Amino acid sequence: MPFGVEKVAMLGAAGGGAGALGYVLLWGDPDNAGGVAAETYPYDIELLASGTDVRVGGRWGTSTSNTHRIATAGLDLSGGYSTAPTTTTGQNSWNFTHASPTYQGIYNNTGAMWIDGSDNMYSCGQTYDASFGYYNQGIVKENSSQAVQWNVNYKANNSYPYGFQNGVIWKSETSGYLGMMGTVYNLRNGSYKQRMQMLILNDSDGSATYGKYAAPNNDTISNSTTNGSGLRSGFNGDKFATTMGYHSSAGYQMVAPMLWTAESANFQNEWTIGDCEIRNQSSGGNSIYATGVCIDSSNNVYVQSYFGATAISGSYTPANMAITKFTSGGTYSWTYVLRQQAGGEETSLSGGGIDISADGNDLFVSGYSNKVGGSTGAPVIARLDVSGATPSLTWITQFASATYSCYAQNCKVVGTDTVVSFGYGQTDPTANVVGVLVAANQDGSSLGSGTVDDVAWTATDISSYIVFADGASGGTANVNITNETGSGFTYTIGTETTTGSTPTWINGATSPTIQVESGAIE
Amino acid sequence: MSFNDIIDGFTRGDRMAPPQIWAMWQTPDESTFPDDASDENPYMWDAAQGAWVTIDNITEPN
Repeated sequence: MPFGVEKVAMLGAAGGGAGALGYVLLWGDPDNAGGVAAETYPYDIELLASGTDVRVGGRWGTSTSNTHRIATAGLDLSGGYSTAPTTTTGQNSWNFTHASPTYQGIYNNTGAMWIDGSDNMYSCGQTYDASFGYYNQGIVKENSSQAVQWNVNYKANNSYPYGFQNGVIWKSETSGYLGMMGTVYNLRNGSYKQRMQMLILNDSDGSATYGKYAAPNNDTISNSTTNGSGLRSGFNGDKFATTMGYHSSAGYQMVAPMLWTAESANFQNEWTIGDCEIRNQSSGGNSIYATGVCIDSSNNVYVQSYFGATAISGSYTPANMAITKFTSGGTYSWTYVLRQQAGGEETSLSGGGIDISADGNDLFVSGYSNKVGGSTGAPVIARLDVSGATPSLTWITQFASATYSCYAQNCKVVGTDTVVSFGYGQTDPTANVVGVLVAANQDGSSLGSGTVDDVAWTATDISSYIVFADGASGGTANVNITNETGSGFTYTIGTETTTGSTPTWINGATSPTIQVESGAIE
Repeated sequence: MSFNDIIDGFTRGDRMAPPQIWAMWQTPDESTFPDDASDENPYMWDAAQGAWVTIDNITEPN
């Protein structure tokens, strides 16, 4: 039995059972049992039809072989915040063969995995085409037993470097088709610029049937471009939301969300294009970046992002988390910000992920900041009451390792009492990169301490160190987040992608296998 | 080295930096866009280097 598996059972018996207030779970190869310095970046966590089982996906690599695979496995989170899973299910990984091992890498990011109502899994990642020197998007569908149904590959319809990147994927249960989007590079006025390409794929074979892309109106100006990875929400009926980065010709990057209807053969924008941008006009900062988007049962859209602004003290420019609400009609409601700049603290607080309770009254957000009183990165989870005209901060907890940094890239509501964040960290002393899942009670009571993989962890109420304020000018020092309308980009029907050569996929369990270790917060 | 070259202790290009940090690095610095850029001599923003580079000098992404 691998060392990691044995330790899970020991910790579970010691503190992971009934009565625990929460837990921290490491995912990957924290003890370096495989002896290959495995690196695990679990960027996605998606609920299965059961509502309490999840599938976790992301990059997986080792220093000696199987570099840059995509790997997934299932976790049973039915034990809520008090009982950690001790095993994974359905471990699986992909790579693809290529004439040159140098180009066998595959990469993905948040939003690159989707689980449909029948527990089929769709995953995309960028592969490298050494023949032309650019990236393609590989997309694979598996059924609930992890049997591959099909895999396809798309590339930009040019041979410019970086090709088709940053794929995210979703499926419309009402319309039955698969949707995905990613960034396509094209040459404009001496600069390689990005466009956000959306595709509709046939669920039976992955063939592309429709395309729509976002591009600046002044597309020949070198500094006006869509920029960075897009994000997507889950579905509310046939509605879903996306975000993309839009770098305006004035030299600042905005967050550009959109509410869509998944029509039978169309992505139909529900808001006026260009009127729902989130802009950072703070002192000391002029760009803002999305980290999450979610939609409630009334089609209100919430966007999580982070931005730089001169600190309250004026000493430097840390990052701050922002939460923005747009109504279903595209009306800007508010942006509220969280800054870890009170009680003697002055550090960055970045966004990670966002999810909403089933009744739409509470947002849960994750992110990371420096450990209070320390310098290592630590995940945070917060709950915001959004039932009224303006939000309020219900609680915020920081989960910190004593010795090493961890981050958060996701947040997921599980059942009626649990919320989890998922990100990665670098363990001590093996230095393997592992996934780090934090499970907390939705009521904010997961406070205390524990031991995970022989390292002490603390879960601390950090509300006294947080400034929670209106992001509009005058809400908190040096911050001014605004809604920009009339932005100069549009969505156009068409595709700038075409079918690429489908690589040979390798499908099987990771090597070494994914272990989980956990420790209770008590 | 500009402010964005070191964020929260991460030096630009650090493959261990979280995606949030990379997103900031991926924002191009328009003030340094090369004067000699053209369709025949195109440049691309290289997040790892924090510079506009030609095709031959692009850094493998993290």
